Amino acid sequence: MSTPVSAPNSRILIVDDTPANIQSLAAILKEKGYQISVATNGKQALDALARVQPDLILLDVMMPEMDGFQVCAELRRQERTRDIPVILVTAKDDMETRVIGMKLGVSEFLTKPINKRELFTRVRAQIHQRTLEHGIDDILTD
Amino acid sequence: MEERQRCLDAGMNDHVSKPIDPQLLIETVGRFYQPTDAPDVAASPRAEVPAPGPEDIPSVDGLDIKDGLSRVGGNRKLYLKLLRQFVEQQGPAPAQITDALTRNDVPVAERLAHTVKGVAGSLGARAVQTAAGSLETALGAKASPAELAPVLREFTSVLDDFVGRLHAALPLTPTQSAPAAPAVAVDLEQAKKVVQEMIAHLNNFDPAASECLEANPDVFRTLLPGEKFVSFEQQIGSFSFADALAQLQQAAIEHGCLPS
Repeated sequence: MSTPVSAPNSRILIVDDTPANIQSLAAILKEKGYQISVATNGKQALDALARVQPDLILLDVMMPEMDGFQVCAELRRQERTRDIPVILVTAKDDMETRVIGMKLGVSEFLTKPINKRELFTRVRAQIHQRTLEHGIDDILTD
Repeated sequence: MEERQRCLDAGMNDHVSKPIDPQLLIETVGRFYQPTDAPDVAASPRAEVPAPGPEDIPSVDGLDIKDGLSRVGGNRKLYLKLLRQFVEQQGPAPAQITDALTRNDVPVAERLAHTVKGVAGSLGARAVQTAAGSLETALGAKASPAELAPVLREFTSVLDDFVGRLHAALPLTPTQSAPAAPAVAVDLEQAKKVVQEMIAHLNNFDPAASECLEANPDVFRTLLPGEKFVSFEQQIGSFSFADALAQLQQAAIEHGCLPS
């Protein structure tokens, strides 16, 4: 069975077009022992995913050129990234955003400005869920 | 209740309404997931933030330092850096938004207002956050120029005043990036280690690249003299890691820090 995927071994990819948002998120997640990768736009995120395999992606919705929904759709198209859980980070907490996100397989939502406690809870839950799924995969393939 | 039902119909497992009740959230999540042995979340996250010291974070009207610090894990150095970036990057927003509206580019104007709202919220700049939020909403609702004008004026006034106060109150920026810094002799073996560390960060798209640069400016100034260092610093600052990596690898090979 593979090593459980949990902090501090877990890597989180943060995708946001505002460096200040990335730095805030990175600082508080690093404090909890997570490893961090970052990208400031959709293309950069896909480039990063060609090199790193994160356990979770925190994805901003409103970005120029390629928005969070388009990135999410591309992630779901590629086999390598299809199963990585995505938490959509948005200042728009309207229902439409959530429904589109859910249709694209988004696992969770966070609304900006981010509450630290809520962030940890959601991140931890998603990574724990992935650990369980990896465990089941290992049992099935043994 | 309607929203809850729509969420459940759309395939969600459960629903927590806003404003979030932390206890209810924990209980709801707890129904689906058992906690791992990951570090525990503090029962009161704000309690771990030390009281703001006037010696490093200046008190500025319209800035909730306690809230802002709690959002960066109490990291004062980072908070100061983000406040400086706010002045530089969001200060020009009113002019940029006006410019976008002159070009009839409402989506760009809306995105700019949205960014100011998000960053201001992350820093604890509540009045700016509110003004930017009102502007974003008005732009999103395709308000007429007559309806938009007072909202834009209010946003411009609130942001300009806040940026002015913040700029005047912030300590001087570190002189680390001063181009006139004298060259320091750098040990080749030490440089090789630092370069390898930096390449690992860049390959992982890890923002620790920024800390590596701050801790070893002399190594990178030696490898990347003059304008090259300025450009490398900007690439790291804007997370353009692929470009930074290409530039560093080429310089490191030229200086014998990497095999060609």
